[in-house]
Amino acid sequence: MSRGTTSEKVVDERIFEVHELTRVEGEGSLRLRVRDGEVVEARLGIFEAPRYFEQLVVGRTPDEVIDMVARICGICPVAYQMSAVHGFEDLFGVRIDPQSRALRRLLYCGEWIESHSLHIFFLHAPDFLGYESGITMAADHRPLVEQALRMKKAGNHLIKILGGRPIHPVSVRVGGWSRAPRVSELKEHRAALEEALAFAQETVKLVAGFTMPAFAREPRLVSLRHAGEYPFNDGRIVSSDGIDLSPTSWRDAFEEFQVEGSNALHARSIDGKGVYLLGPAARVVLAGEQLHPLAKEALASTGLTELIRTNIYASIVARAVELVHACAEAIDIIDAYRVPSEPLVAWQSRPGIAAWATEAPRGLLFHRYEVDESGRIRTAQIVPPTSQNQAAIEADLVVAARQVLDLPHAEATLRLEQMIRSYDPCISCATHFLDLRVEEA
Amino acid sequence: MTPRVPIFVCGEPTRGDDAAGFAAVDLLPAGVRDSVEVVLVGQLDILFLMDLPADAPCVVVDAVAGLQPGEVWVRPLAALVNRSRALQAAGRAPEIRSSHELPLEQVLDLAATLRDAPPAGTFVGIGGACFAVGTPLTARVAAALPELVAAIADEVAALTATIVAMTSTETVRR
Repeated sequence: MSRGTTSEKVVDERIFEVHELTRVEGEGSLRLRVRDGEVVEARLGIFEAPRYFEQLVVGRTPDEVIDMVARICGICPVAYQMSAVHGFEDLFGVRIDPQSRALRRLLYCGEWIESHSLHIFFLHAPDFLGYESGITMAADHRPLVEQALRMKKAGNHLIKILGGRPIHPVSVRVGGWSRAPRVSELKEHRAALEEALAFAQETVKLVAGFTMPAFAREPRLVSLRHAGEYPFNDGRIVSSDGIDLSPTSWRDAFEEFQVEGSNALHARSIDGKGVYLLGPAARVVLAGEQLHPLAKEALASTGLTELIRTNIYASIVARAVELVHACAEAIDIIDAYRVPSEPLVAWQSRPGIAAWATEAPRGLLFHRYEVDESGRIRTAQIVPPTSQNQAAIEADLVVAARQVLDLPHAEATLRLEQMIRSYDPCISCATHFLDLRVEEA
Repeated sequence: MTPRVPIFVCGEPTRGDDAAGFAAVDLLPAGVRDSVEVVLVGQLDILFLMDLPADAPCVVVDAVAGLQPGEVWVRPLAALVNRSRALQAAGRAPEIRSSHELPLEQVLDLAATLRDAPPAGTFVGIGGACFAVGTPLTARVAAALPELVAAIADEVAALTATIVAMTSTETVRR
C-alpha cells in the first residue's frame, strides 16, 4: 500500500499482487490496483508459454488433428477431440451410429467426472474448509479425499475403457471409433459409477453447506442448450439475454483479441456487451431443465440456483450438481448400451469450414478449421473456455476488490485468488495460440 | 513368478533434461527390462501409488532441479515423504501451483497419509540444467545417462530381491 500526493490531495493506492496463482491449472498471475477505493487496474496475467497448436495442425488430416488437439490439455483432452470431430463430421456430412454418439457422451461423462472431482476436492474445497491444499486437507478429512480419488479414478477409467488410456485418449475418429467397447467392459465399471454417484450426491450437500463469500454480479451467461439432453457435444449456443446460434456460428456473436501482458487471447461479444461467463454455472442456469432427474433433485435441494447465477463462488455447487449428472447419465448409457453395428462409418473429406462448439468441463469450447482440397488443414482457430472467461474474471476482480478492501492485505489477496479459483481456469488450455510473426532483417 | 517392479518415469520428453528418465529407461539392459514394468507417467498421479498393493515397491525416476547437472541422486521414497513433512512443519512447503504440477514429494506425502505408510521403493533422480521446451538433453546430463541407468538397475535388483525374500517368507509361513 502506498500513499502519494498530488498537488491537491493524498492518494491512497493499494496493489494486490500474486505472482504465481496457486491451485489453478497452468501459470498465471494476478494484479489489482486500487486507488482511493476505485479499481484502476484488474489483470489476470497469463505467462504460461504459448504453445502454437493452431499452427501445429496446419497441413494435417482431420484424424491427426483429433489426436493432436487432445494434447492441448491433460485434464480435458476429450473436449478438444469432441469439438474437432463434430466440426469435421458436420462439414463432411458424416452420420455416425447412434450408439457411437452415446459413447461420445459417455466419454464426456468420464471427463467431467475426473475434472470436476479434481477441481472440487483438490483445488477449490480447501478454500472453503480453511486448508492450504488438498494434502493438508487429507490429513483431517481422509475419508473425503479417499472417496474423491475413487471418483476421479472412476472418471479416468471410463475414459480409458472408451479411449484406450485415461489421458489423451486415442480411439476417437471421424466417423466414430477405432474401437467400440464390449458391453461387458462397460458393465464391469458400473459399480464404481454407482459409488461415484452416491458420493456426488453427498458432495452436493457438502458444498451447498459451505459459507459463500458475499458477491453479486449478473454476467451474460453463455452455454450450449439442447432440447433433449444436457449439453455435451451438441446444442445451440445460447445466452441469458437472447443469443441463439448454431454450434457452428460462434464467430457470429463473439471474437478473439490479443491483450498486452497475456499469452492467451481474450474473447468478447461483438455486440458491444463485452464480458460473458461460461462453465457449470452458465450451463446449470441456461440448460438446467435437461439435467438428469437426480441432478435436478440435488440442485433443487440446495435452493441455490439463484445464487449460482450471481455469485461465482457458488460455481462449486453447480460443479457438484454436474458431477451427479455425469455419474447418473453414465450409468444410464451403460445400461442401454449395445455395440454399434458400425463403430466407424466411411467418410470422404470435402473442402470448406469445419466448425463446432461443445461443452468442456470449464465451458464452451469452439473449434474452426479450414479444410483444403486435399483434405488437410489450412487454418485453425481454437477458442477455449478459459480464454473466453478471462474478461469475466477481471470484471469479477473489480467487484470482489471493493468487498475486500477493509480486510488485512494478505487476507484480501487470498480472497481474490480464491475468486479466480472459482472459475476453475485452465491456463494451459488458454495458451494454445500466439500470433507468430517472423521478421527477417 | 516374481512380480515386476514398476518404474514410474516422470518428466516431459520435449523439455530438455526433463527427458532424462525417458532416455534412461530406453537404455536399460534387456535383463533388467524383463523384471520391470515401465510406466511413462509424465506427472506422477496419486492414483498410480494408490493402486500399488501394500508393501509393493516401486521406482520413481525424474529429473531434478537444484542438483548439479548430471548428479545422480538416490533416496528411499520414505525419505522424500519425511522431507515434505519437515518442510510443511517449518512453513517452507512449496506452493501447489497446479494439480498438474503437484510436487512429487507432496504426491508421495498424500499417498503416505492415505495408505498409513509411505510407498515402498526408491526415487532415482538426476540433476538437470535446462528444461526449456524443444531443447535436447544437455551435454552433462547426456554424459551421465549410463550412471543413471546403472542406478535404476541397481535399485530394481535390490527391490526385486526384497520381493523374492518377502515371497519366500510367505511361502514358508504357509
